Amino acid sequence: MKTSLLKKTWRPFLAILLFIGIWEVATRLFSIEEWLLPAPSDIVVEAKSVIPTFLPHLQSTVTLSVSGFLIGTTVGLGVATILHLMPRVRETFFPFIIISQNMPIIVLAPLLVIWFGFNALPKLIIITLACFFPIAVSALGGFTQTNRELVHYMKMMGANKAQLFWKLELPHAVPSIFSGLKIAGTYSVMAAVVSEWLGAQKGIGVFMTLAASSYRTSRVFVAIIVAMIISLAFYGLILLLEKFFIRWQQKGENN
Amino acid sequence: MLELRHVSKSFGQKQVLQKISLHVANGEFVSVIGPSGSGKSTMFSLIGGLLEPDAGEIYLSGENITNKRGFISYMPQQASLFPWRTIMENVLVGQELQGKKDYERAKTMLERAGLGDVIHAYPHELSGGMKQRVAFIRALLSPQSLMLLDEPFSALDEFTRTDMQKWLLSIWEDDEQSILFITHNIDEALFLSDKIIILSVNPAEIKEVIEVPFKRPRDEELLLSEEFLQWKRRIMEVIQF
Repeated sequence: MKTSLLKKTWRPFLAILLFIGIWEVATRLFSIEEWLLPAPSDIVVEAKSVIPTFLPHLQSTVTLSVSGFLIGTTVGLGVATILHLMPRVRETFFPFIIISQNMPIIVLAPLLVIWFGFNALPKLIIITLACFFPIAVSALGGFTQTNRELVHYMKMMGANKAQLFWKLELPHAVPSIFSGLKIAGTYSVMAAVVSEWLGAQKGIGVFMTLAASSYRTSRVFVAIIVAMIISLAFYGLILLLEKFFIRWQQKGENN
Repeated sequence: MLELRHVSKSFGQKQVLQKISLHVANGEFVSVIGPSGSGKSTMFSLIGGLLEPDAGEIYLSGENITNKRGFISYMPQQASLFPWRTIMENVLVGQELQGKKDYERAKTMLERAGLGDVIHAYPHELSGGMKQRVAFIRALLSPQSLMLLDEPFSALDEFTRTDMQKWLLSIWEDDEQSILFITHNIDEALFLSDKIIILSVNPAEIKEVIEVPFKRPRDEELLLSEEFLQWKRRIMEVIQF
């Protein structure tokens, strides 16, 4: 197990190391200004000094993205369930939902601030909008792709609509819901940072704008890297949950 | 127990079933045989209440169950177990749908069926024959007193199939359930049933009903006896004309 993990990960690990190495050497070789592109070592130094003041920002962003993600998940699953159980509603509103996703969030953000002010609400709305769609679509896909034979069995046994949904369609959709959750999890961090640009007291987005406007580029990079780490942590957490929830699944088989 | 009275069904222009009347008594094992495409599955969907007949009624213990669901227990052609449930949780599905779960009885049944070791396993860990056993136990444990078995062994290889037939008889003969069994295998129908209903095709009509005279409990010897072969020949003749 351990050795196979090592075998699988050494290549990408090496690639990242190589990338950082080239970056470091290039900035020194061409003596690129630190405000333009800081060397990885500069970023590490900056990170060490700035982390204590950075922590409250980090905490704020994590809270924001987690709450946004949870709301988005709830809304996404709710929407998918309604659309699935009511085909008419689905026909009517599904195109609308797709159109809503083609609206760039960054354009929507200032509008939301005009309507709802600078508090948490517009930020949560932005994250929810970013999260609910992948979850709704994947859940809906999972519901509709339920194994025909199992549906036939349940109907022959006299299952009603609610039993069909709770005992068959919902558990059947769990694997595909998780693929939606993984996408939504990473979106939520990105959406949280973007929403903080609009105006907030704390948060990685705020920290980033402040650093950028004073040309402290290393700080911007620290913020970017931390955002990436949070995003990855979310992804990992969802992956763990997925492992737990679909432990019944045979490896390499998907039925 | 179960009674079909002049049940007809067509899809568009195509008539599938024509005036089917049949009767399954309490504790009786009745097989329906006929070539593929003879509307056997349509008949099951009608009895299960998924389809409404164009004419005729279906009665269960005197109650009209035409186009009503939840009165029968069902074992499909594919085992159709829920992959996220353990074997124990799978066999309880039928009871769950009707309200009450009986763990103790399920456990006893699984043990009697030789599935005691896999109670907590997931379906993907079982062989095809084992899965069919679980599906049969699931049907048996459901509270309904009539079971519909839709070609349950057709996907199994010949060796497993004979084992499964013997196994099914050994489990069922201790029980009081009535069974309506669809198959296209004459040996299987003769070996298992009390009564065989032979269907024709396009549209399906009842050609003949044969009472099977063999005593129970039955064993493998029967399959090669002279009497068995004579009955088999007789059925083949009916099917061909």
